[in-house]
Amino acid sequence: MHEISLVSAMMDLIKRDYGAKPIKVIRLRVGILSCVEPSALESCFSVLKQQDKLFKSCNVSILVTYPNAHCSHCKRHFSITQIGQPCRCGTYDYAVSGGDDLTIQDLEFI
Amino acid sequence: MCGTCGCSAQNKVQIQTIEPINEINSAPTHNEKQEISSPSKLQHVEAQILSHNNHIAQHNRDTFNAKHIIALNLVSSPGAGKTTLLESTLTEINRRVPCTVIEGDQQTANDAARIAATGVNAIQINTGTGCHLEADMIHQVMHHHEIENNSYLFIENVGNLVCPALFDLGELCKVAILSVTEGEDKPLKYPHMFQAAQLMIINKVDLLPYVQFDVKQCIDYAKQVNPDIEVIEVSATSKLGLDDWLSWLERLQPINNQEVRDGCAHHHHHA
Repeated sequence: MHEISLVSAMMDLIKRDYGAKPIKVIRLRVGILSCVEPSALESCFSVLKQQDKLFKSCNVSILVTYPNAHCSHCKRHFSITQIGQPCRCGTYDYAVSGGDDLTIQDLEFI
Repeated sequence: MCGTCGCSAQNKVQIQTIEPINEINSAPTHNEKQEISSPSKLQHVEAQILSHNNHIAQHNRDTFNAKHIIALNLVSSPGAGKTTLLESTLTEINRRVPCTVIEGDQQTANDAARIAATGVNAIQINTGTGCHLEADMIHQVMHHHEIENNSYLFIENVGNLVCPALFDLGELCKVAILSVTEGEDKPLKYPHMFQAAQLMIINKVDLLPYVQFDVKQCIDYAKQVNPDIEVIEVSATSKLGLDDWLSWLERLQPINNQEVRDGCAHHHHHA
């Protein structure tokens, strides 16, 4: 359940830097390479937020992001939707960029 | 030790205990179209959720590099043989190079006691309900235990192939240990961990005649998620292949921070 640690870290960061007014929405980007399950993140947040006035009426909105790949063999550019997915040419030898976001994009206040 | 980060040397090693969840109150909103609200109510943030952990991890890494400490983060499922591998390893190299072991377990100091029996300093961290080590736990340990210059630091993470993949501790690299009594498709089932690791050790190879485990298939699977992963086959109990692992350890050098991060902590496939 590393999502609990992540939600705590997220709430600490927001409280430290933007803790003045109550928040309505926290918008996050979560990449599929980040090792984080969006629904688990939401569940943890819905529990942990109850203990804090700042977050009590807040929801998280998660944008899932996917990495881009560039195949070393056929030179094709493609988007990866699952780790360990081969290129259309059958190889796994490709350069990957992005898709590892675990980022607080913005906040919307009440 | 920490003149740069402003942390207090008086801090006790503290392990965060996380209360169990009794209530799930989920309001799934992911992948929904993100609404745009009026600019005055919107605050652009663009901050990494793990920035605090990563900051401390980098601080640990700087300390390791300054002291020429080679720190390895050993990860596996419970029972893959991390502690046994360490016992065999330490018996061989502790005479030549000083070693320290940090043991992460939810409870008990049993593993630290096994390491201490080899004559090596062992520090036990109990995470309680926590399923992984975090950078601050290592940081706290370093305030209380002087780790020798020019030494190896083996950090044995909590037995878990999921969460430890995400938390940088400041290590030179992660070493994933998989035993032949597990399935050869573990690298596909837990791809994040094998993607984050620089080396996969296939342990308990002395049991290969008695189990259904296709070594070649396992290596192929690991390379599907991480084409650059190195592989060593060992038996920690019979010492088979142990020399390959010891030579691998001897080749490691504490290197430039940026190289470490690019090469290990956030592993990327080769272009």
